[in-house]
Amino acid sequence: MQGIVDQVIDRFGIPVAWSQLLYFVGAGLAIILPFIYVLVFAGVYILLERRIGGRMQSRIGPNRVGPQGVIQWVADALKVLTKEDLVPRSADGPLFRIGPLLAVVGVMLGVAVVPFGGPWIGADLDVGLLYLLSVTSLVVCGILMSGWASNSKWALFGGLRSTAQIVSYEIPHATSLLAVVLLTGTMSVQGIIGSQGWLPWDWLAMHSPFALAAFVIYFISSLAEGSRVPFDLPEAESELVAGYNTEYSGWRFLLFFLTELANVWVMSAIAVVGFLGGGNVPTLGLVDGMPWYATATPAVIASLPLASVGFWVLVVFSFASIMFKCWVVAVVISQVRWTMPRFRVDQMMLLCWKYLVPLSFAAILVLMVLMRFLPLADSARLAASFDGRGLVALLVRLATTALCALAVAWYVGRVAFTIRNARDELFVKFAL
Amino acid sequence: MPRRGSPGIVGPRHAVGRYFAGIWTALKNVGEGMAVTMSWLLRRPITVQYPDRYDGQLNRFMRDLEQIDQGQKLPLAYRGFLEVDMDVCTACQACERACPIDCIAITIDKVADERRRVMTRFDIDLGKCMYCGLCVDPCPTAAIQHTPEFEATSQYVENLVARFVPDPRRPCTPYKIPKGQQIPRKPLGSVLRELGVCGPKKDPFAPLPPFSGARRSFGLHAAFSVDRSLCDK
Repeated sequence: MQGIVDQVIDRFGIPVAWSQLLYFVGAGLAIILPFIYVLVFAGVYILLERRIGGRMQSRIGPNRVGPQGVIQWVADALKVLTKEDLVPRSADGPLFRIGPLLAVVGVMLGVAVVPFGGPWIGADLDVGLLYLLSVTSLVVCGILMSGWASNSKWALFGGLRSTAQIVSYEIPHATSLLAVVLLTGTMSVQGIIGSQGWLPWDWLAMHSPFALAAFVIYFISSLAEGSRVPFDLPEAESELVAGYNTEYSGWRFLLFFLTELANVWVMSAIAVVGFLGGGNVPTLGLVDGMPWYATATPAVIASLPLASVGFWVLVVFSFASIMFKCWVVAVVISQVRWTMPRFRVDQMMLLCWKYLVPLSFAAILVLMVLMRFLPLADSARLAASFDGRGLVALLVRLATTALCALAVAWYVGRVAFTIRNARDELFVKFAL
Repeated sequence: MPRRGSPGIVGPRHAVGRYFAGIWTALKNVGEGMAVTMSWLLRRPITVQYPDRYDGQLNRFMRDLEQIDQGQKLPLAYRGFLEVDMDVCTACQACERACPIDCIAITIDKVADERRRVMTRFDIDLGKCMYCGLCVDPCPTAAIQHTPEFEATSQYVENLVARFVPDPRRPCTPYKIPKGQQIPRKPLGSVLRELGVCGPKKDPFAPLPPFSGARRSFGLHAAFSVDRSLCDK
């Protein structure tokens, strides 16, 4: 955002006194726009999740408020906002009030380093990923605080479960992101995107099977970090009434929902940034001195003049690309919710400590060795270099991509098989 | 020979194998589960959006299912409204006795100078009926049956009384079971539709019926006096 404001100032010759104001406006936009986006995302995502869940359970889902229920989320939010903000008499008042705020602040701080395609990002910190891992740990403080301050057994159980879960899964979560940092050599979110290409086999997840393993570990542990199903033990409604938010009502209750949904956005965006090529698009010949198939990384787009057509075309493409990928990941997260049953507490711990932690360490160790032999560059550059190392790297990438394509093909085959062998008497099939 | 992966076998090699076999199984099973949910996403929901996606005249849900698979309608044992085919009713009153909540009221009168019994009333209070089906079982001719009909909204609960003898002055003659012949039964639901309890003739905003004492006189079987001159002889 700062670079864009610089360009505006240069172009229009704005005096220094006024330029400070412009910086303030730019900073304000950089704060407000992602925030608003996440609010809308939370609403639209919960609606989409309910509709998808309905269809997966052979129901229809909410379709009454607005055409096809598109403003159901507004109605729900308004309804909750009109509820009284109750604080139980025996609760610890100040902590009870601060808890949800702390949780939501933790996620919203993380949104600062989530990119929106091209050069658009709240703040491209040099320690972006480290910052993200640190601030999202605030969420667990907020949840534990509200669980404790509620002075209710259910809430306390929820808070403690949440703490145990999030603290455990911090390790594979951070370790799998460490693989990204190792390979790219940077913690800046835009830098990580810039070191990938736009083709699927130029994504970081396809660097080698071990990077793919890191991606899977990241995905699982971020589900646990965000307390999504199957890791929704902290708010297990069949065991604890609603976990840490049992005693909450009104807008504070809404904040917990916002935390969870904003977390979905952050985790899917970081999955896309770290492993799935971010918002990279081909330059399409819009950048001087680069072939059309070269990757338009955020840095390349940012280097274009603000007034050029190429800049805006690439920004829009890049935005569409990152949005599409993030929504796909978010929908997969929601599909997992309608597929998997909840883990038991011991199973949750077992998965983390016996599988994810050792495997993520193993993946990192192997990647440390492999990165010596498999250089990180996009395939155009690798093929152009024509040396042995580049070709081997390219082949490994293609093989990993083929592995993924095979998995997807198997999945599609299973879906087709399930539909083909569906029992007629239970439902109407093939009628979309 | 113990099954592979079963407990009881020790040894580092086997443990490592089991560890990775477990990972593989987990990934594969999650994939299978996801495929199942995805396949449901691609199918049409079974929900019938009653009443706003329902044409009110034909049982659209049944019709849709008929297109898919003949015979897959509402279940055959579906217990909707009760209906009586008066043409095959023997006036045995078995249903009335079987009804645990007395929602069936039958009045039997004798025609003067003849030794003939006629039914001047056969009322079923559908608002009171609990759809238990106990009246269906003892019926010797299957005159009283559950139908798949379930829609008879009315402004007044009194209108939910189905009167299978619409005019007491025109009573029905009991049916005599013929030997060795099949008993003709009107198609399920046709009687209720004919009476206007449900189906196209149904008027949800029909006015209150003129006082008949139908709901209050259950158990008092002489609510009407039969105009004997009108009895078919």
